[in-house]
Amino acid sequence: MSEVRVFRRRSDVQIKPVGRSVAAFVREQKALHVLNPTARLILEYLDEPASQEELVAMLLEATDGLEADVRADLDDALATFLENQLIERIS
Amino acid sequence: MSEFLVALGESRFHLELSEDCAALLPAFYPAAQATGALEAPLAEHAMAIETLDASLVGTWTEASSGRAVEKRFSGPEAAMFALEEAIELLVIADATNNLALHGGAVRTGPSACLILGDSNSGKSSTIFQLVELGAGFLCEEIALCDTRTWTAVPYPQSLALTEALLEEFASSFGITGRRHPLVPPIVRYVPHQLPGQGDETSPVNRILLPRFRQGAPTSVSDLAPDQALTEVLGYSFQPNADAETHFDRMIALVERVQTFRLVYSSAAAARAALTELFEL
Repeated sequence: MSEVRVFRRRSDVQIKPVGRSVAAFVREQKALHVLNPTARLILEYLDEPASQEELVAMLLEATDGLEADVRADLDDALATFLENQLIERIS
Repeated sequence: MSEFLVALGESRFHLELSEDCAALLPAFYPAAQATGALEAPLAEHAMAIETLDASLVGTWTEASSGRAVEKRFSGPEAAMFALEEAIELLVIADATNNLALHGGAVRTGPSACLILGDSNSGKSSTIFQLVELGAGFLCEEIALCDTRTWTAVPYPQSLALTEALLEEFASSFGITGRRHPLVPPIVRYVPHQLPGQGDETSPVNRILLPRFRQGAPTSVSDLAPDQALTEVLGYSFQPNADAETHFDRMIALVERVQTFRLVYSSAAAARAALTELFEL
């Protein structure tokens, strides 16, 4: 069985609207990240804990992407979010 | 020694200068005045450059440490450049109500446009062209935007331009401002009309991001607030406010203005694009 990876948005990350888009403010890092539409979907979804599979399902429903592409993009996005302390892995 | 007063943003500077440095002051701060009464509540700084033991010695407060420093210089130009840099850092450190951005601003009609960018992006030459086309000069090098009123704060510093640009421009169109040659090939340009301190309330309604690119076709494009934010954040100076307040102010700024990117490869192309964009 493959392990279930569950993530959630870090509590010190605030989503701020910028025009029709949003930015994520990371208080601890004093950093602001402007999010593209897919990153926004993921980060807003992670307001509550979610597994990688739940995120894949959400993105497939919200976009017209192919599953292989969605999985690859999600892997990249989660790695970037973890690196920039926007999310944390809780299991 | 001569004494002067320079008011910039939320700061006022008392300058005490040796005669050779005082002679250069109009090339740096054309709106400097003989000293007078200071108006509260602006932050006040005393700075001096005097001749000691056949060299120039500058004394002022260092913005980063808050301590008084003493520096020696080989000549008046080097001393004045150092003084200018120290003043800029203090203006940024004093900016509690203002956003401090790397760039300048002009006034067209009742509104102001911030012109922002990295060094060598063409912001000074863009400000120069706009002023020569009839826009009102507001500031150069540091663009201060009052976050209580969203107005551009006058910062009457001269523009640093190259001799080549000024010569090219002068031969084609003539120049109304004054030129002060300093260290070649840089010339300080002083617009013919300087902003008055405290009597200019021009709401900022545009940001222009010029970008000189060799051989590129001229283009003006509109940036959405999120696109503008990513770039404009890079031109903001470290705030004297907490990070979240600074970001909130930056977001508010890009949401309330129109942001344009101007790509150009020659002064003539930039002039044509600016004339059209600003209806000058």
